[in-house]
Amino acid sequence: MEVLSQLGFSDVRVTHRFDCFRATTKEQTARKFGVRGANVFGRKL
Amino acid sequence: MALACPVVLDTEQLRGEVSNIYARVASNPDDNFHFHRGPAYAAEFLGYDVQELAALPREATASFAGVGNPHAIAAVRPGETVVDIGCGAGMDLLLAARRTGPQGKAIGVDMSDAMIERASRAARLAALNNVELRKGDATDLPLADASVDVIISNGVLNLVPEKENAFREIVRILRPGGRLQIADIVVEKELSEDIRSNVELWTG
Repeated sequence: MEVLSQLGFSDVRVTHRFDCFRATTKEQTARKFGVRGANVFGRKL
Repeated sequence: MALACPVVLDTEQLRGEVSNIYARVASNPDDNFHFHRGPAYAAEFLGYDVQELAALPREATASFAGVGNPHAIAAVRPGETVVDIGCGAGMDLLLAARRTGPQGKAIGVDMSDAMIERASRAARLAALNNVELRKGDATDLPLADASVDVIISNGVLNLVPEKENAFREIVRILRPGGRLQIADIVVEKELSEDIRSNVELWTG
C-alpha cells in the first residue's frame, strides 16, 4: 500500500480478500505462508 | 506488495515457466493445475455474477484463473478505456467491454499467443467490437502515455519479477484521476530468501 502511495496513487486500499487456494493442492502452503488473493484499489493523482 | 524482488532469480526462466503454464491453461483448462479455473470457481470463490458469466463464451470463462475480482472494486463506466494487463482468455476483459459499451474500449494485453488467440475468438463470439488484443508484457505495455481510464489485472503482477518496471508502466499509461483496480496474490508473512528465489514456488 505504501509503495502505491509513493508512486502517486491516492485512496489506496485493499477492498476484498479471497481464499483462492482453498481446496487446491497448494492450500497448506498458502496457509503456511499467509498467501491469499486480494482486490486493491488506487487512484492516480 | 514489494516492488522489487530482492533475490537472485532467473527472470527469463520464470517468464518461460509462466508462459508455458498459461499456454497449457489456454489449450486445456480441464487439465490438472494447482489453482482453480473456470466460471464456477469465479462465482463461488470470487463473487462473480453467475448470470453474467453464463452469458460469456466458454472460450473466455473456462481458462479463467484469477485470484480476485477487479469488477467488484468499482464499476467500469460507459465510455471508459480499460486495459486488462495479462488478460488471459479474456473473461475480465469481456466483462469490461460490456460495461464500457460501444463508446468505450477494452484493451487486453498478454504475453501468450495462445491466450491472445483465445481472447480474440471469445470477443468475436460475444460480438464485442470494442475489444482489442495486444501482445506484450507488464513491464513494456504497448500503450500510449496517459491514455487509459482504468487498469484491471487479475493474478498477474505477482508473477512479474520486475515489479518496479510493471508499476512504472501502470503509472505511465494511466490518465490523472485514472483508477487501478487489481486483484492479486498477497503474502502476509515474511518469506526467507530461499523461498523467494525458488522459481517453482513462484509458478506453482
